[in-house]
Amino acid sequence: MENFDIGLIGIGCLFVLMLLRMPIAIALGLVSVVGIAVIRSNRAATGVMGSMPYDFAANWTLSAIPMFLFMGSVAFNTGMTSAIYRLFRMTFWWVPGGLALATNWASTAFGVVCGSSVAVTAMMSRVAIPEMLKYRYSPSLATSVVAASGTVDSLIPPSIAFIIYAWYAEIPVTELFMAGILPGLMTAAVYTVIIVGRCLYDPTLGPAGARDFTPTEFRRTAAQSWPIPVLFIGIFGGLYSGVMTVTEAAAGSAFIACLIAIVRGEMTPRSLWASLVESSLTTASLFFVVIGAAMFARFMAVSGVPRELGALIAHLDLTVLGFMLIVGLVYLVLGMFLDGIGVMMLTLPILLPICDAMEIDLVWMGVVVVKLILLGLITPPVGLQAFVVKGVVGDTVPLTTIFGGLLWFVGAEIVIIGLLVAFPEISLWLPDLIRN
Amino acid sequence: MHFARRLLTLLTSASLALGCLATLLMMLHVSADIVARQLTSWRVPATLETVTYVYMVMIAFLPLATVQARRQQIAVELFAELLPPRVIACLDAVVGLIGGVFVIGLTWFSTKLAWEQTLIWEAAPSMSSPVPIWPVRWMLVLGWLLVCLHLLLQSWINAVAALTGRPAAFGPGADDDAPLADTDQTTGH
Repeated sequence: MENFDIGLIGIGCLFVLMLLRMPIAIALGLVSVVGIAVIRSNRAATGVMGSMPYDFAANWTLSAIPMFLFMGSVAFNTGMTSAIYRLFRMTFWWVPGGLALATNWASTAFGVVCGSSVAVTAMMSRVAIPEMLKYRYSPSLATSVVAASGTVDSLIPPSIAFIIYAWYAEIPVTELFMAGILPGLMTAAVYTVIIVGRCLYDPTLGPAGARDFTPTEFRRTAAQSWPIPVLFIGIFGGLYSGVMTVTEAAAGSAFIACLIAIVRGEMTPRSLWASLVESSLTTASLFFVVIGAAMFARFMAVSGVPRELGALIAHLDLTVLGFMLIVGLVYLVLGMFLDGIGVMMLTLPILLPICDAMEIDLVWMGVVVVKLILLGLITPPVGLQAFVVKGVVGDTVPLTTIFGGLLWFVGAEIVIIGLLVAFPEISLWLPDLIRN
Repeated sequence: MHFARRLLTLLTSASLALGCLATLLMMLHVSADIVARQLTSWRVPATLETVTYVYMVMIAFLPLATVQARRQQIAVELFAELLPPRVIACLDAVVGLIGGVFVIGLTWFSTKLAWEQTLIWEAAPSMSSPVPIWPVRWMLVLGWLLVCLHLLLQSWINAVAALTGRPAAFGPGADDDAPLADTDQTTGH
């Protein structure tokens, strides 16, 4: 049997194991080790098992991940983020669907302190959905806006998905961070149009609000919102002034977040412990997947699948647009069934060598790939964001209602991805400024 | 069996606590280095080496047992709502057993490597003095070993549930072998 055939069989086995509910990390590792043993030797496979986990965890670049996750956990657990939501709520009270808009922009702003879409969605579900339901918003709009706007977070730096992609593709994460800003803001803006448009067309979806606060309360809330801008300046000032590496900016901003919490009197032993546990567990489960993916990449490399697929694409003489269309379809299908980081780690070993061969800008590709995995987070049947919301709202809103509302946002995402593919400048304008 | 299970829970909690401590130390170590570098020309010794070879390995592997104990590994839940509970339990028992055997392999080969590196007192070279990293190799072994034990325990619990329709006699339920179950953790993307 040819190595290429073994590679394809390995991919098939991987899908079967994952559909049987085997943890993605273990499935990736198991298939890779067996595949390498068959193609090379038992010695090569056991070498991978012994050394690769340590070699990949012992990584300076990836050490930014636990630090950014810790910063986000501190910000959430010490109530730093709640003032921002209240501020947006007061700002948009007069707009049709104002609470939904506040949710959308607050989730975008939370991206500055948190790199995880799921964490933002879980938090916003608890805060925003009960309030929207109280003001008689349509359950479909209330839940879907939380699920969809939570994904914007992964485009706004610091983004964990970008850090992993940048590490894998060996490109500067600072450029990728910059590249995500405009697409992230564009997504929030398109969501704004959808929310306001739908509420104007059918006012029962999001009834107009009432001004239930005084100017003094507004000013006080605005004053309480200072931690987020301070953290933003801390991260970006450190990163783009050239003073700090990404890891240093991450650790420094986590430290600043702790100091802010102490100054505000909100840092208790309990909140510190909760933040440490949350960030450590998330880091460990993410790294396990990344280590599995590293083994899988090794297996793919020895099987020659990426090389053969690259040759096939070259033989088809595809344009970049045609290639991106295929990539989009593959991600759309995989995203319906698999977790986002899992899809990314599964596909990058095959995708990136082809991109290299086609001379595609890997920063632009990174933005499109992350956007595609975010689309997977809101598409049925395994739209993780919908399940996170469902986990919080319980039986009050059926899953079908949440997915029904999400269809509007799925449509918007497809349009946005189309724009990002058709106009790479949207992603590359800011990174080009740094490069020049 | 109860004693063994309590010991496993205790070790899992202790390894999580060590992972959390590493997170905190990493933040303080790097922040101290930044402040020292900006204010003076002095640098905290071996920051890069300690973060890379010590803290990162502790953070990546020591909390992993708790992730497994709480069944929070990233997995595909496509059929979870479609299949009857006993079929899911049967599936989880088989998958857990296969996963357990694989992690036994990871534990074994990591142990071999850790032993080899211990014999040569492995250390990472740095500008100041070398950072000993052979003890961290054993933390990796501890992490894998605990994950493996949780996988096999959960597999056994699921097998009993699949066969009898009831939880295993020696434990209150599969999910209760999670230590420190006070935090609602979510995986990041």
